[in-house]
Amino acid sequence: MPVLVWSDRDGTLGNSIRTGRRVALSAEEFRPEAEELDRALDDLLDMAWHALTIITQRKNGKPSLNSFEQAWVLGRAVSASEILRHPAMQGEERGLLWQALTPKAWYGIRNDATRDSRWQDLIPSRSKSWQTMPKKKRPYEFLEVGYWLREQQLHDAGEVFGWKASNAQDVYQRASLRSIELRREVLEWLRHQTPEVRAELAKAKSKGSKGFSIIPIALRERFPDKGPGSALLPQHYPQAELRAIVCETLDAARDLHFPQLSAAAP
Amino acid sequence: MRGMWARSGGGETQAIEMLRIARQIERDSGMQFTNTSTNMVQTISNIIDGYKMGAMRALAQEPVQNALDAKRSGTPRVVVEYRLLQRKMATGEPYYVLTVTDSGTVGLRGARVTAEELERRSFKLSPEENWAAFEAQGYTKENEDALGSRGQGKAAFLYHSHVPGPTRRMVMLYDTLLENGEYRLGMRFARPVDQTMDPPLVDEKARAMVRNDLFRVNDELAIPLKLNPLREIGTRIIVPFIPVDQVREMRPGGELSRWLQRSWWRAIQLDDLEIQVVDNETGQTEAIVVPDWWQDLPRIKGKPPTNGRLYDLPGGGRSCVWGNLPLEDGHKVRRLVLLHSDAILEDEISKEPEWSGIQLLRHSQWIETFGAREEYGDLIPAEKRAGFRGYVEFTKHTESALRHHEVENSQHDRFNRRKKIISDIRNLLTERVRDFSNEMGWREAVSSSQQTVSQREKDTHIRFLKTFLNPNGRKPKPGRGKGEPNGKELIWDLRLHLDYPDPKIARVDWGQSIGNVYVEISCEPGDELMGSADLILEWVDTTGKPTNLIRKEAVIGNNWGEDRIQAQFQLGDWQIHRGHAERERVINCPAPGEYRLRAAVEYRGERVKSAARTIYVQAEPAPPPEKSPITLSISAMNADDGEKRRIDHGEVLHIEFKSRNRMPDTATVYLNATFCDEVFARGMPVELSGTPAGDTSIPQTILTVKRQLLDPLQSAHLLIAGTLGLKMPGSSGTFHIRAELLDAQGNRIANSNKPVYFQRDPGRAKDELPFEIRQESQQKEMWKLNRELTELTYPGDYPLRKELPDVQRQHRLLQGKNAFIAEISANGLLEWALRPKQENGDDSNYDQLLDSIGNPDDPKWEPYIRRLEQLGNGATESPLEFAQISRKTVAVMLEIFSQENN
Repeated sequence: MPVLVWSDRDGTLGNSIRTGRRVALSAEEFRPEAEELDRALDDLLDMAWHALTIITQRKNGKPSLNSFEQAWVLGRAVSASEILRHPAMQGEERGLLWQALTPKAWYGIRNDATRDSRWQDLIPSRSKSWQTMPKKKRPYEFLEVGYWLREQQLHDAGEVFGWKASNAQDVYQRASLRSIELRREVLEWLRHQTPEVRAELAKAKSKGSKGFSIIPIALRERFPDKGPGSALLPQHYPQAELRAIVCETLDAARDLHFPQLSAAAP
Repeated sequence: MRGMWARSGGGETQAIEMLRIARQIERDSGMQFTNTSTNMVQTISNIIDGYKMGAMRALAQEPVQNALDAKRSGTPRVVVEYRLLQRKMATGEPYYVLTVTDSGTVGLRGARVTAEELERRSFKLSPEENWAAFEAQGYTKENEDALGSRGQGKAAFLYHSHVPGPTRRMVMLYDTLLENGEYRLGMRFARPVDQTMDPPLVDEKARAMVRNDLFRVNDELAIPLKLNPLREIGTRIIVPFIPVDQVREMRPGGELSRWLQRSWWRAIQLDDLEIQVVDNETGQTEAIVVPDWWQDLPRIKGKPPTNGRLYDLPGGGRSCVWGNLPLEDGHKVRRLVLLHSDAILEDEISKEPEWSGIQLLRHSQWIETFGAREEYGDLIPAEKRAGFRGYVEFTKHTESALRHHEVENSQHDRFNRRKKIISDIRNLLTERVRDFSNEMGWREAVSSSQQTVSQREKDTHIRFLKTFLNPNGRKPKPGRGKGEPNGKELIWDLRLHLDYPDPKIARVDWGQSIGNVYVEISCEPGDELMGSADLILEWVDTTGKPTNLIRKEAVIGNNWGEDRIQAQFQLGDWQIHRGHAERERVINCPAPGEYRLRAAVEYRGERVKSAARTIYVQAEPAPPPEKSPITLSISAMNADDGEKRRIDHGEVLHIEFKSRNRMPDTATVYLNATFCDEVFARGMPVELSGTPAGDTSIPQTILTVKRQLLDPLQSAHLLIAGTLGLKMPGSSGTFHIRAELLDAQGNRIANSNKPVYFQRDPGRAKDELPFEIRQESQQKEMWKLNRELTELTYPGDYPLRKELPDVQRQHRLLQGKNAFIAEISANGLLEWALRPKQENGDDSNYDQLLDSIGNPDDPKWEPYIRRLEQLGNGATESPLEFAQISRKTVAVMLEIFSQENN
């Protein structure tokens, strides 16, 4: 997809075209397509922002932005808008869309070069590395995670990951654990745990506690990404069998880490 | 017209707007603008991004270089003045203007040349056409190389102009006074389309405009100038709208001054140039001077000796000067000066070396520094690098060669190290730094090196891997002749069956027979086979020399409508005879040893597939392995284009799961195999026939799958009849085929996975080789392959390597340091193939190595195949024996590498 990437250097706007396609002289030759896509991104960001205002909680009248919700909303908006089917995107990597979307939203630049600062709400304020490494993949991982999270309803996804983007990222980085089937079974297992266990597992990993990371670590051992045991991934098992495996694996992890809490668990 | 205009309301609005502005300007001043279709803002950003040390170096370098190039004969020196001025906008808002004025030059002389005229003249300008050169883009000048004609000079100025407004725009004006008294004023505006003022204002009109309070560009943009017209012959570039945060850097003593000193100190020292930086606001003036350490050295003039002369510096430290050092091809270093003083402190602006190291000067202009740390890290101790300085100058003949566009880059900040002249210079400088280091007593103190792998070493590594993994790179696969259309890749399969006298051991004694020799051949897609192919059966002796037993010509052909060609040949029993073989189907084999019976298919003059069995004549083979006797491998290829590892939407992926059973008895195992979300096999029982002890273990195909890979975001109408489609999880990425073999108790006995590059190129090397090579200073071992099998590392200061000479002119591949690289590449390749096998029973890499053998029937490859099979069969349980065979294999590989490539 040829994309139009906006930049804002001390208030002055600029833009350039990026593409993975073969170019004769410069990517500029794809500008009309990129402009077209940029216009479509205006609608996408409007849609995402409105969705965010609906789902986000407010404290003292001000929205309390949560990076998990921001990521999910953007992922859902990308999916719902079918922007990935846009002609400009044929034969291009998805990462290029993130390169266009992120600065556009953060600087709030519409296709007609007018400003819309509201879109900045969509980009987690901590994710700044895209400004220093604009062409690397890693800085845009929050969008990749958001696009992955979209497969579940917000509430289900939030329940699985304790409403924390870092927890979702923890799982996403382990490629063998990305299937929707596994997330469904983890959710099912979590719903059968006591509130104390769930509260512990919703915490992000910190110095004092392993928190949520217990789940990906245990599952990764059962479903390694490569080497022995990696031939059958969660999505390759029938649902009942997968459920049994998940319960067995996570029960053992819970008993190991929270022996005092697990006595009450079913 | 595209770009920013398009955003303000489509093509029609844009056109109207352009027309309105054009008319306005015409009305106001009689000016007209010529548009070009370039996105100039982007072009300038690209040009400046090409300067690895940033925009400020470009600004320090380009104007002065242009001025020196335009020096007027008869003037003692060129004077360049950078002046910062403050002006106010109509709104009262202050802003800054930078002017760069040169004198002692010829000015921007020559007639105006329109774009059409330039095109008509094939983008060629004469040396006198300075005005046209400054206004045009992408021309070349006669009698001059291509350097300096790519708009660097213009970009260096324009980049610093930030025209107020919502989008990035740039503007500059330029006035010139010529020898004939003519005065001109021009303008360039990047909005982002490129505009120049056409025609320029001349004489009084130009002077008046320069003096004027405002230069009105259009309705919304007016530039306050209020400048004095030029009084001396020369040129002035006016860069309005300098951002406030850059102003500090442009004031005297700022970063601009520091870059000016780095770039031009030698020209200033030689009195060819004078540079001043002036700030009108504060009244400060700074003359750029030669740095202290080069300031008053007596050796600047006079002829220094070729073998170098040492000096003690008055303020402490030492210096050494060489003169007339010969390089190859008649080139020469005119002067080389190295200096060290503990009193000199580090003074670098960017991450690249500037002072600390040896500055390479061309026409007294600094181009690049070979860094004390980067280039001479193993010769200069870390604590001495900050105070190490050097410069090198060349003879005129050599300077002309350096200015060639393939040697020096167009930014004038780097030489191409792959060019021979630069590599010669590097070698010479390294030797002189080594001498200096010895004189200073540093060599002993240097403990670690931080060099990088040279391009030649990298090339050797790549060539080595290609020799053993990419035979197609050397020898085209037979398929179709010249002019025939490209069809699908032919996939051949060949199996050679036979009965040993004792089915559990590959031993045949004299007088005994190899029974029921039987060959099965298949080829698909059948309709791609052009003509027919031959079958050959041959006996290979212990030295690898083949003897033809049978040749059946044109026996493999296609029948109309067949998808897959299959042929079987019953070749009977063959007796092993000690004496002279006269009878039919008797093989003469006078000496005991390891022989091979080989079948091959020859198609269009090339052997496309062969299979061999090992026969121990009157000798005892090694026992079967105890560890990992059953292994698994996956091969995956693009059935539409076998040469391509990438698979695009709609292309067919052909996957084969193969297993080897190195035990004599038949074994039953269970296969799990998946790819993305699809399960190909789950607990699928597989019977693997055994391999007689000593025989070549044959990979047995246990499952073959073909899938047409589909992009989930594209329509699936491309489906091919008879081939199932597989919707990929994403439009692009690396996905893995995974498989494992289990025994009856459910224990994993082998595991394998293979990456598939869907709609993306393999990440590592464009040559699609498995691992790269890199130096690692902390490493102690001679070589190491990382856990992911993607990187081979070696220590740059490994004693053996250090003693080997750098290859300057390569006559043989295995020469100097390159021989070291070939040796470790061979070792790395063996580990790459064997480690997964030993750790997981994964034969994929090993099989790839075997399958890639360029000419299996060539005697020089034969010993390699045998050694590889020995290593693969695990017939060597003792580590000592394994190491011995590895060494022998490496030796054979080096021999093949040398013969195949020299």
